[in-house]
Amino acid sequence: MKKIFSIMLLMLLTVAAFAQNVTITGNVKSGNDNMPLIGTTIVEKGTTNGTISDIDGNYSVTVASNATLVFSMVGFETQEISVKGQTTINVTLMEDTKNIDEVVVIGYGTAKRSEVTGSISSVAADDITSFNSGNAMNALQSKINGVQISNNGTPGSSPRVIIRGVTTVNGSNPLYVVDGMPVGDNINFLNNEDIESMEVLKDASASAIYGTRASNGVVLITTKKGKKGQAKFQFTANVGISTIGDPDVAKASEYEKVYKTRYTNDKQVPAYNGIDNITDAEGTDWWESTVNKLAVTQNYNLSFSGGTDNFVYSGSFGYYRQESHYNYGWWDKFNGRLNTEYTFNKYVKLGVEFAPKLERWDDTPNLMGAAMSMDPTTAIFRYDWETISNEYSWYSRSNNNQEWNPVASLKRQTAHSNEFGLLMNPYIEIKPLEGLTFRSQFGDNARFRISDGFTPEFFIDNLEQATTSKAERNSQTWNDWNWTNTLNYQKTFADAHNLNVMVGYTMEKFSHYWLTGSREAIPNNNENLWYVSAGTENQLASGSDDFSTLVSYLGRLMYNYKSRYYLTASVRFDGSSKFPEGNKFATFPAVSLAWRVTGEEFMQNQHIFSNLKLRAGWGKVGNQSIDNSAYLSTIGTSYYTVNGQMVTGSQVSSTANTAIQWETVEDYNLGLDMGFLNDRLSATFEIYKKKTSDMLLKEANLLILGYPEWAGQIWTNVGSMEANGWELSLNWKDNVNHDFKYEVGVNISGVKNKAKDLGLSSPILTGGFNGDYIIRNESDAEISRFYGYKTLGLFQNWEDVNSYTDEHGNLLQPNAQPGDLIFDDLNNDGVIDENDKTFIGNAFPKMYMGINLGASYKNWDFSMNFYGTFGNDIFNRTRERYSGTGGQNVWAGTLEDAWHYEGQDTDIPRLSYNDANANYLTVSDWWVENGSYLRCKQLQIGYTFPQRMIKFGTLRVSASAQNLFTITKYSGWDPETAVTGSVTESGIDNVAYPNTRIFMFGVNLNF
Amino acid sequence: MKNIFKYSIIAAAAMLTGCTDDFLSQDIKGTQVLDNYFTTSEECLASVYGCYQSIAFDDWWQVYNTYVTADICTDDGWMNNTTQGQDGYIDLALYQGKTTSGTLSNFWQYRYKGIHNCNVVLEYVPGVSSLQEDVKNRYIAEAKALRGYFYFELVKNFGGVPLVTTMATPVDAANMKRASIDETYAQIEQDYKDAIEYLPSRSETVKNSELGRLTKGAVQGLLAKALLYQEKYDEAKTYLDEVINSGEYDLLPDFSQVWDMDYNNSVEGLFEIQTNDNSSYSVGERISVVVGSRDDSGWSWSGPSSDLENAYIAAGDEIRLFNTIIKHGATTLPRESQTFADGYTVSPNKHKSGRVNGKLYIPQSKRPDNYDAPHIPLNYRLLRYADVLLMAAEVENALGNDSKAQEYLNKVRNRVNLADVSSTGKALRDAIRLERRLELACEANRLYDIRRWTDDNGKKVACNLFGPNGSWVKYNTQESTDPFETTNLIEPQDEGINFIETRDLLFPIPNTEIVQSNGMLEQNPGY
Repeated sequence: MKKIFSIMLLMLLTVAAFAQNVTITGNVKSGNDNMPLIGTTIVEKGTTNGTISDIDGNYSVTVASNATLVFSMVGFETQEISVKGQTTINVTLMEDTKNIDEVVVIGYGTAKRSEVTGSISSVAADDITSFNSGNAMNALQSKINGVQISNNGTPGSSPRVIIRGVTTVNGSNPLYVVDGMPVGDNINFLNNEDIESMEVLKDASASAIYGTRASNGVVLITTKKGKKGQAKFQFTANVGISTIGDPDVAKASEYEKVYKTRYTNDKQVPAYNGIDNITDAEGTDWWESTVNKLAVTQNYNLSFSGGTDNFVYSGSFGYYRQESHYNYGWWDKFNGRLNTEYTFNKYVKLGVEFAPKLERWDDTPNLMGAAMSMDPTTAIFRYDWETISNEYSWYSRSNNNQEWNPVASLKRQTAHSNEFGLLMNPYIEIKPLEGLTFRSQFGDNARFRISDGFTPEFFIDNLEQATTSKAERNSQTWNDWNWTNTLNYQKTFADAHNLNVMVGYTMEKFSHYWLTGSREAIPNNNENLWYVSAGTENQLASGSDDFSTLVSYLGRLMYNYKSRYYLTASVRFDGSSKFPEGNKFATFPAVSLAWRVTGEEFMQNQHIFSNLKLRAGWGKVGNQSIDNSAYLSTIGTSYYTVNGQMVTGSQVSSTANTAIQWETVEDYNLGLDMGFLNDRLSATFEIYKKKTSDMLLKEANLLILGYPEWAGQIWTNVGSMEANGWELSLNWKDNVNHDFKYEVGVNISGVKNKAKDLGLSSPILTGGFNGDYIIRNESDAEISRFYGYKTLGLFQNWEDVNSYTDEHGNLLQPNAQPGDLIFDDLNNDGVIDENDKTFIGNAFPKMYMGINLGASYKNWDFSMNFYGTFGNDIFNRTRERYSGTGGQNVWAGTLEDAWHYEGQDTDIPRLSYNDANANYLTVSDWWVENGSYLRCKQLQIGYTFPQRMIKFGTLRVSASAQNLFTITKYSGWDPETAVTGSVTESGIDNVAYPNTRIFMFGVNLNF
Repeated sequence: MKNIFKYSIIAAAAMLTGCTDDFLSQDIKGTQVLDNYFTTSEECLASVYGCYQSIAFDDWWQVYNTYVTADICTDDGWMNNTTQGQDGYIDLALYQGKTTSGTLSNFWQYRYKGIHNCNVVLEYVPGVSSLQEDVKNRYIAEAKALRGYFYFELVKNFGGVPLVTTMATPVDAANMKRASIDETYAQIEQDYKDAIEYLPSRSETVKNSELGRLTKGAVQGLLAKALLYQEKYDEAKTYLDEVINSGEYDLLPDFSQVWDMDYNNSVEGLFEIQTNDNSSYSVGERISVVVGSRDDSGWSWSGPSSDLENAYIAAGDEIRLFNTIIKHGATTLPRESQTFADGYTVSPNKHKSGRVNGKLYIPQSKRPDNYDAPHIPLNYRLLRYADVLLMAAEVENALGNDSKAQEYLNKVRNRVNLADVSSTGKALRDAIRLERRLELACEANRLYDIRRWTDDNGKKVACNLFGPNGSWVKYNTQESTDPFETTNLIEPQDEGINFIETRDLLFPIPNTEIVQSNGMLEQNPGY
């Protein structure tokens, strides 16, 4: 403030010194909202002569008659206008959203964008709230380069987030930090409308300050804070309709024919139990009976903010609800938030964030697979249902397969949870000396969840029944606290050396308290009795506590010389209770450098680059997400009988790895930031290399070890992985004129995820498939690759079969018939066996792309986002639905499409009951399809009502479509859902809940 | 203000140095840890019970299901269930040569889990100083005998297997190969022999209310069986004689009592999976449901064949026929007080043979409320005295003591009112073999007998039963007139035709294990 006054004084004094001057008056407005701009600096170019616009945006300045006026204002694009005899010059300044010196949150502090030496991407509030989703990360898909986000459409599901490739097989989700408080790896609980900005720390030089938990990257979330001024209110409402497609499965008559043909093709008598010669009308459409065509999503939010010189506040109430496409299954959340900060004096500031929430959900069932495979000859209800008093027993058992009646399963859904949570984050900030800040923050994240479930007693069939009812309650409390103390010193020496030093100490404790209980034999199925207390038999209960702790010492030095040469160095020394004595502590250092070339003298006269900056960074980060007891063998209980009486026995229930230690990721990053045409065009290119060592994995072991865990899985430091990648972002942004603006952004990235050394656990086999595995992760190779047989089409006739022999004339496929798959004898050894398997597909894409388009014309605004992956394969298990195995329903048209005459143009093997050739039991490239896709994630059109219509504030309405269309060759349902799940078991399409198309309508009112 | 700052620094400094160590040591709550376990005799005993529990674990699918499957793979049985996907059994029932059986994979996994439990006991119990020497020796003996039993179950199904006799690490396992069949049996014999000395007699367990824990007689019987499987007749005789001469065991007077839950741990029982009906825990069996009629709350997996029925008829063996095979339309059932005037239902369109296992049939009045759950208190008989007598008969016959062999054989026959056998030599051998089939049918015994017995043509019995020219295959495809089996062709009548002599005398090692071992573990030949 003082500076501005002195400049003004100086300017006023110089006015008198010029001759042949003219006085120019005018008004400066913001191009954004047409409101007057206060405090715009108006300077005569090449001089120090100038002035500042007043509260109404008016100004008056006396300059030479041939002068050029420069209008500049922080956050707006600078304009130059020649006077040329004018005396009135009105100017509209356009907002400069790509302002290079925005403030970036960097973890235990903030920095100017220009000071950032690591790889940090920021997303602003608008980009998050414009996309309707219960989890803010979903909105980031396409918008942040190098971050792979994939999800399915289940209400309340959280996306799989992979930042810059996979460097560990042990989970991929980043650490989320809300206002300095680490909150774990899921942010479902947050209200998206509360978010001011999100910063993704992509490389280790940026994230090493979070040491222990940063191996998958860190996402820093800053919530909205109050600003001095009148109270402002914002109300938003969004309502959406989700639609889901109808999978094209066979109707009853085709089903019957396929079913019987499978037997007759094998010269067997069909064991068909449905109506013979059934008509489609006599059959059941299980999909229609199970899945609703439409589902509703709603989101309402009221927020407010304001403050005085000493006190600022900001708060919100939000409600979000997402329904599933079943009659059961939804998720909703109420969020409240109050952020306040009180400034006592120039030394001390005190603030508190207070964010309660209530999340509720009915578990969304997974019945889409069942609805597709249930046999359509079975009626939904038993013929005699009216005579049965138990309504859960009204349903039919399938005539022809093992699938449980999906409508009956849906009827039995009762799993419900309520979760109350409170995030509190009080802090004190003390500035005892100029440049020195001490901050102490005690965050507490408490959650309390009750989950209830009831299983009714019912009888549909011997194999589809529950002989007793059961009520269960599960109560869980989590309380995680975090005490963070930092001391920050900032000073500029000799106008050239800018120094920023931070040291800190943190303690964290994670507590989990749980109790679960159940009883059986509830007297009847009345909803009022769906509680444990109503049960009459088999009382069971268990409960315990889990604790883990972290202690960390941290420090960071940031230095730059004349805003040209930058250095950041940080170190974190972490201790964790999860590791045994001697392995508890680990050090995570990082260094990064940057050179802002455009800051150099010799760059001042060039006009190509408005910004040119080179960055290089190195760092180490860690991972400790393992069970608290990984280094201990625990003892469990087992029961046996002696002398007819039950006795309590014990068995080792989990196996220790006493040498377990930290997983470390070492990361190198090189970056180039460029701005052209006054930053209208900007580009960032980065390459990186990440290498993990001592990777933690709950590793499957040989069964002969007899470890008590399923498949002998124990926590192990198994080896190393490597991710090598690149990212290119291009952004073009142009304000054509006052009315029309547009921007185009393209993010392209590629990454290769390679397992360097999986040690003893190589190969890690995942994706169980009929006693084999689909995926083989082995040392020195990319992860999540499909491993199986190559096929050479179908045998067309007996001659084909009989001539497919080894050199002695022995049949290679003695069980084959015409219409069966030909498996390639890859090593030409005369037998088709394990040795003929090879890699037949790669789950991870070669390239990712996000495209973001935005435009506004007058009061209309428009945006469109695309996200796509390229060069990945999907193991399409939905192709199983051509087989009819186990009497499952098939895709419509299977009868015709499955091979049934020589020379038929089809790749679907013949229908067979025995499947002696194991067409459908074998992992082969027959299942593998190109999984590349480009999806229109969102298309949105908004209209802001002109001020003459809405006096009291601003009103914007919008309509949008999410997942509007997808360009892909993939024949399955949703190429995105196939790539969720564990990173070592990626790319298998198991018919998950798809990402549905959602049409949204929104209102946004500010006053 | 500066003071506050100063105090904060001091407070922080105190935190930094003071209690970090304590803060970073968080104990595991709610469960004991191995490091602090094995201090009291109670803990040692509990861990031994943990080994016992590993005999069958807590439900039908870990271990029992392989017993079911073993009968399906013989001439005694079919898969039987013809209304549902047969995925769990068909590959083995039809001898398809696949290596991906989930049933066998579970068996393999859970047998090794049991071995691990024994190895834990054997690693820790010897070092527990508070334990009395005799008690300690008994615990060790029990763990060793059980480990021997688990290896015996592996060797008879898979052949030689990797011998894990310590709490091995993944590094140890990575270099482990399969032991030969002889080496595996050597380990089994060693474990059994080490155990026998320290185990009590059956009467002592009766006296001390410890029925169901291993006895000297049980392990002698198990050892004899392992020796007999190797055709070590002399040694087998030693242990069989000890059992027979101990006076601890006898046949139950009435054959119908043998599989009666009221006769659990009877004088005939040497080794049984102990059960009780506590409905809060999985401490009973459910295999009765697995093999029961689809029309009577069962799953009908594995059912007796008409060929077996014919064998009883040919022998004039009405008692064991009645107690072993329940046929569609039967009006009286073994041990069942209720009669079925309209006939008990084993629908022929749902059951290949229209027959179900009678030994595991649970009378209606004795079924737990929640029947389809592991709560049924019928001890599964793993070794009973009739088996011991027939083993002794076989051994004596092989050693040329035919009169002794006849004595043992006839003891078993006389219980079911069959006349004495007086033949000798090969005829006697065949009579003993037939007797084993009739006495022990549907008890998961026959598969291992037909794999080990050699016929006069030098081939194993199984090889003469199965394959394109197998006698059982020919019976079913050419001779059988059974009204049920010949009309329900959903389970093919030529079952067993795919049998290959060089492959099918052993089951395949689970493929996942072969793949996981990176070739260190080799698959059985032919697979």
